[in-house]
Amino acid sequence: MRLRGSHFALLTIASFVLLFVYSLVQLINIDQGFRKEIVEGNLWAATQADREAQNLMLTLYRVSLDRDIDDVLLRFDILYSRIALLTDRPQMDYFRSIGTGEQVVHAKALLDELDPAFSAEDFDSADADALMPRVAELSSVLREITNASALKERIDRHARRQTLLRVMQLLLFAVGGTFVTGVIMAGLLWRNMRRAMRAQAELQRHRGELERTVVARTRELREALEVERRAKEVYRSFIVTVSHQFRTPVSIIHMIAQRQLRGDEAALSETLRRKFSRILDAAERLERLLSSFLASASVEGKDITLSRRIVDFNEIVRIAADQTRQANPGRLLELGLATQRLETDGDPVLLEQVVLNLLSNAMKYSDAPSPVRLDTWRDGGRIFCRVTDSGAGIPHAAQGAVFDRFYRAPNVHRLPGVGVGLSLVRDIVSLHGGEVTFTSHMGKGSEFIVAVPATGEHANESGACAGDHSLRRG
Amino acid sequence: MNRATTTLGRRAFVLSGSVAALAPASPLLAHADRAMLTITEPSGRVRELRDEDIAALPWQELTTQTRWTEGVQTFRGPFLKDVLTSGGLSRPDLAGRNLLMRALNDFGIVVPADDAWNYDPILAREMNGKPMRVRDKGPLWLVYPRDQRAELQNAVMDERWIWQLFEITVL
Repeated sequence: MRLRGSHFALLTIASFVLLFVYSLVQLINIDQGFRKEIVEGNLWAATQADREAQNLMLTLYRVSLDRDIDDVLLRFDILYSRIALLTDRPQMDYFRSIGTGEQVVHAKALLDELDPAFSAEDFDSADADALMPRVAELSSVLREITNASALKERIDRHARRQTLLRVMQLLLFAVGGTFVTGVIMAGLLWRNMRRAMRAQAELQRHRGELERTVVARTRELREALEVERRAKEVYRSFIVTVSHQFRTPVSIIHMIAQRQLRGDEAALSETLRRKFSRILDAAERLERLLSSFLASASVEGKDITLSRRIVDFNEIVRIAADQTRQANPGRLLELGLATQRLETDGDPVLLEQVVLNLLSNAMKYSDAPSPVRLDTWRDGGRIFCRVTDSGAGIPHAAQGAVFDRFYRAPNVHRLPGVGVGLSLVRDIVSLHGGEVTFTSHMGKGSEFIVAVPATGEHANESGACAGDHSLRRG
Repeated sequence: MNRATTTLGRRAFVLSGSVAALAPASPLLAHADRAMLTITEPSGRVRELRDEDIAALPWQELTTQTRWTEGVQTFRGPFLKDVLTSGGLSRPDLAGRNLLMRALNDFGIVVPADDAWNYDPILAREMNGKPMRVRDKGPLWLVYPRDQRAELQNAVMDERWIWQLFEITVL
């Protein structure tokens, strides 16, 4: 639409310009016509010839009264020159073009007839009277030429005026049209500019509004985050407080049950022993649970301070393995440790917690007599620790969420646990700049691999691994 | 009807005009056989130049086209400036003055005297080798070097080509 409009405007202007050029060309033509114009010169020549004929007649008439005969001859000569002028080429062509060529020829013929009479030696006043009628005839022929020339001149002038008027009108129309089109276009331009400016202002306003909205939303988000953080803090303090409050009574219960069990065997009936044993188990579970809660809360609160130092990861694994064996006397734990020291810069207590957690999970989610296997090795700049079990495995649908806090896979609900162990593992490994990955197949078991950065003089060695590659690959 | 009276009126006018024009011309015509050119100088002195006086001046030849003739014509005659100064006048006497030139056919035109020096026109006495008679625009025709000077090729300058010249009055 807009394109068509601009085309239309261009076309209009172009046509006006064409009209303008055409008018100018016409004007130039007219001007050149004026330059070549000899009509008036011809009319003048004809009129003068006519006049000289009249003069000759007058002189002839008065020759008997007071005029010299030489006067007559002079007048005749002048008349002759006048008619000769009409018969010269440029003038003759003109008179032919207006249809009076014959009259001019006739006049010349009459003149040539008169010439001998005037040139005669014995020309006198008596002859003058006789010549009068023929001079009168010549005069009337000249009068016809004059009239025709005058008429032609008037018609020409009229035509010229008409042409000039028409061209002037065209010119005026072209100029006026161009001007009006220009004014209209200027108006359109002005309108478009106003529109653009208004749109610009609107846009500016929108942008401002958007910025204000963004600021408001950001503030709301920050406030929500703050509320959330405070809620979490409250929750954490609650957990920590409650856990601490529970710990002491649970310890007392644990201690009493233990003491009873270790005491004199005869003093306890089988039934009581079983009951104390269950109390002891329950108390131990409760203690572990409370420990997990406290550890989790500390890590999340970011108030754990890593007390880092260079440690041998194998050493940590051995301690954790010993503890696990003691806790699970009926289970088989196979170790495949790297032969060289696996030095890393880390917190031994927390790293031990990691290994303990993974081993405890492996024990928990697999049944005797299937063994649990632990391997360590080093590959390049990283130390790896793999825990493999032949347990139930993690359902495929649950694999994405095992590291989430308080998440428990649907197939293990019957087993004790709160779902903080793997979450804690991941947090601790992250704090050490490492990562935890796992693969698991339902019914076949799971395999968790922890990788942390190595340090020490062999840090950049690659392939300095444990000898038991085959196990690692299994 | 109206047209007829107008024509009649015009004819009567032309006739009376002719009579008026003729009256002052008569004394001059009486001398036509003796003087070819009469020059009236600013001092009031009247010089009459005969054919032989004109012939005695150095003549020039000028070849040019004219507005009234077909083709190129060759004119011969003295420079106008030579004619004007032949009686003792000098250029400074004439600088800035006008010349009233009159023809036998009662035509008259005013020409700046400086033209005589600026354009070197001649008073042609001969055209194409033949002396010009009254019936051939003679005896004298003021001829400008039209073909040689582009600034002379216009209507205003063409008007100054007076023929049948017989009288010059220095104004």
